[in-house]
Amino acid sequence: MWRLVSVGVFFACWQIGVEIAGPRNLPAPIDVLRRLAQEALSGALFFHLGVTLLRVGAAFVLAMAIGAVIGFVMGRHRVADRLGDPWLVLLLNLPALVIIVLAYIWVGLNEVAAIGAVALNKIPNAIVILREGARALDPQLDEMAGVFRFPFATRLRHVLAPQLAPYFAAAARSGLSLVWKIVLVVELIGRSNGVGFKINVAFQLFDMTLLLAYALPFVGVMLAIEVFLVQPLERKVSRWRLGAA
Amino acid sequence: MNAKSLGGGSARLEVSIKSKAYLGASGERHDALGEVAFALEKGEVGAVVGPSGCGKTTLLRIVAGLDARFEGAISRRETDRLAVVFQEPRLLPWRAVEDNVRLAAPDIGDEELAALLATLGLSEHRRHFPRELSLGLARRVALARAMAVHPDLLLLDEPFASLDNATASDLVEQIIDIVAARAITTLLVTHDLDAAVRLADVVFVLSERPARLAARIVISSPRRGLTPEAAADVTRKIRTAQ
Repeated sequence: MWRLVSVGVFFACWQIGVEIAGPRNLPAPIDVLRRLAQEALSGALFFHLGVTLLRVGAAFVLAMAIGAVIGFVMGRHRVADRLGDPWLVLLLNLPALVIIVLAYIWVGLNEVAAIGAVALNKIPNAIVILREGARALDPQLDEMAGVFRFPFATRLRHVLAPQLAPYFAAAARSGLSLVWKIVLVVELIGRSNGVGFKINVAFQLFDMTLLLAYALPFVGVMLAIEVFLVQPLERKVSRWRLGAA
Repeated sequence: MNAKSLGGGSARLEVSIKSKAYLGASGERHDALGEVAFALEKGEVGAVVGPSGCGKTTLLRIVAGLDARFEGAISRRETDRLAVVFQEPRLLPWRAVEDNVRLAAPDIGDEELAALLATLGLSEHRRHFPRELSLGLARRVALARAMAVHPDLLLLDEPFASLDNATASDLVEQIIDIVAARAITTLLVTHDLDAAVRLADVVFVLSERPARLAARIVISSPRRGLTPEAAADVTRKIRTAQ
């Protein structure tokens, strides 16, 4: 109920904004929806949305996998932490734009550079969060698993993974929001398809209606992933904290 | 350190520690254990007692193989299965009671698991998560987990700490039943002299830190064969030796 009220307030504010700024700077919601329908019916919206989501997915999986492994190793081994920390600080402070431009120059204007650049922007963030998770692992449970000779797979699944799950979920949530924003920049600079590319076209034409027609559904899809996938997953892995049998 | 394998003799555990020390933050040496040597035969229950902080748990950790930085040797049979009941139950909080037991003993059958849980009064808690259990119940789950692996050598670290007298007494009885029925070689570390005297065949008394073996007191008619007078006499000997 309150969510619907919130959505209603959003559209009301939008309409007021249209009256103040004028339709050239801020098109009316109905005009944006009409343009969105046109793009959807032509198939262009789904194509560009699909391409962008594929890039988001690939970069996200790559960044989480690499970041989780490196973060875990750095959190568990002091030498690895000391060796990796300066690199981590460097990557954390390197602007996303610099990484993207360097990737396009060094690798070329292709998918490898695009996805790699996005992943590289997310990896340090995943490392930092998973490193904290690895540092917080309970050494007593580790000893228990050793004494009872838990096989590696059992130890990974039943001892380590549940302890790391909240950190992984936190990294996933922040990572998803970071990745999709950077993917749009990558597409805007160096790809010929995707939502970022269409936003660039809209910018060149100063077509605010087209810009919003692509931006809104993309935000909607990312919100849906957050609400229907990431949050339920987070609740599931944290279920034991509530003592549910 | 040395972890040696015992041959075909009757001894199941031989402890021969020369010293154990920790290094402080600024590199200074803190001696935790002095010379401690004893042996246990198959099915024998040994209790290690001593003043608080004398190094009892350190000794148990060394025997369990969890601390390898010491001078001396621990010898046990390579084929012997080891189980430890830690002072903190160390259950996986995200797994129910029966899963905690099963993970340590994946081959355990449903009937055996049910019987084990029933023996320890855990049947109605089998689907409960550890956070739903009292400390006493959690310790019983830890004991069930240890028993489920059919250990040849059982190490118990202060299993009665923080329990009320009735709960501790129940747990002592359950340990007596299980250990005696299965002839498990057991090393118990405790500050509870009554429990030590009720459970053990032999009591190893440690001195103040750095702990040395101050006395070895053999109990002639151990466990339920011990009269209250004899128990009081053993307790008195332990107190004198400490």
